[in-house]
Amino acid sequence: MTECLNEEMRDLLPLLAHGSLAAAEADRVRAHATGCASCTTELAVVETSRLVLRASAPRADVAGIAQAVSDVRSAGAPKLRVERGGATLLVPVARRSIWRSRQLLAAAASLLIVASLSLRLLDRAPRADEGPSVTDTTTVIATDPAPALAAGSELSVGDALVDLTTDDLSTLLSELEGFDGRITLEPVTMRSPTVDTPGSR
Amino acid sequence: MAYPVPGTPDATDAELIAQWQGGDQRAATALVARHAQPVARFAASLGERDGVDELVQDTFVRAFNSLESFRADSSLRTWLFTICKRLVLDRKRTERRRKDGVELDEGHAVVGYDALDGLVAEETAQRVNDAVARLTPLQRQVFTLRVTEGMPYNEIARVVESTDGACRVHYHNAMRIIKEYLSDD
Repeated sequence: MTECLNEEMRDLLPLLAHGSLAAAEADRVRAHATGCASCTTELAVVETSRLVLRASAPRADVAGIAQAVSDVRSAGAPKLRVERGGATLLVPVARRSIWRSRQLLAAAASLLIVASLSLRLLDRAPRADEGPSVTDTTTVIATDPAPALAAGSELSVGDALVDLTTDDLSTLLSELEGFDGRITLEPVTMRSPTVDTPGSR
Repeated sequence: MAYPVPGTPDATDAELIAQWQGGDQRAATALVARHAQPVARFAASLGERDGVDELVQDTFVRAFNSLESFRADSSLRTWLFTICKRLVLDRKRTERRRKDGVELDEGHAVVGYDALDGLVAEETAQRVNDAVARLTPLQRQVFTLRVTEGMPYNEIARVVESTDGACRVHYHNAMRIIKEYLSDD
């Protein structure tokens, strides 16, 4: 038997069998098939194949699958039970992602660390048993041997300067004013500045 | 929905998805009831014989897990078929690796299911199944989607990753092979 040359009709035969054509189009295809031996045969093959393939496929466990989908949802975002239109709905509660929460925690932790360090630095008055801090650089040269601060002193000032009289200090200052930028004094023993770092004490 | 599904309630897939996203579990059940069996048939056409239930379930679980990424430029059923096909290919790759390079026939035909429901005689069913088994994997997929699901060529093309025209050719070639086989018998 020669095949029908009306490819449009042949293409629509499976859709006719499936029932997915609009009524008018279904009538048109059916009318063609009725008068065309080739399409009548082909429609029979389509309908038989459709029945066989549908019937021979394994049955899906709809209830089991629906339950699995429900379980997936249960493991997801927390839900709020809402009564709407007589039905109980589970509305997912918007939740920040874990990553977002971690970012916020990290930021909070950083702020706490900085604040605590700042408080420690502010709270820390220089003590006699400590070496100078790196901020005391200008006094480092004169503070060896170990400085001995006067009670109540807030600056780390070494023995050599403490013991100077007012006149001596004036002389020293005037000499410093004339200082040409080159050190001509005997070298003094220098201590490395103590750098304050958290946990260094 | 790109094409009607006979015998189902009026709500479209898009409406049911929206209802499910709003927390209505019944909408998920309705979607599963509407599409599970076609997915199972499609899985069978891909050569899956064992564990079809698990495969269909995996398909739906994955789909519902990523419904946000579903674009309505294709039907939900087409999207489910696409997910199912990827799962089958993943399974076959895993199986192939497990068997250390033993080549599997990707499109082994599904035959031998017993649930014929008395709609067609067993002998006829066997002949049709034998005829379908002669098709190439691609012809079988296209033929099954066209004949059992009534899908338009553009949707089939999405599933099998081909073109509308190529799918049309595959369908008509498949039909010719099946008719020849049945008339020879």
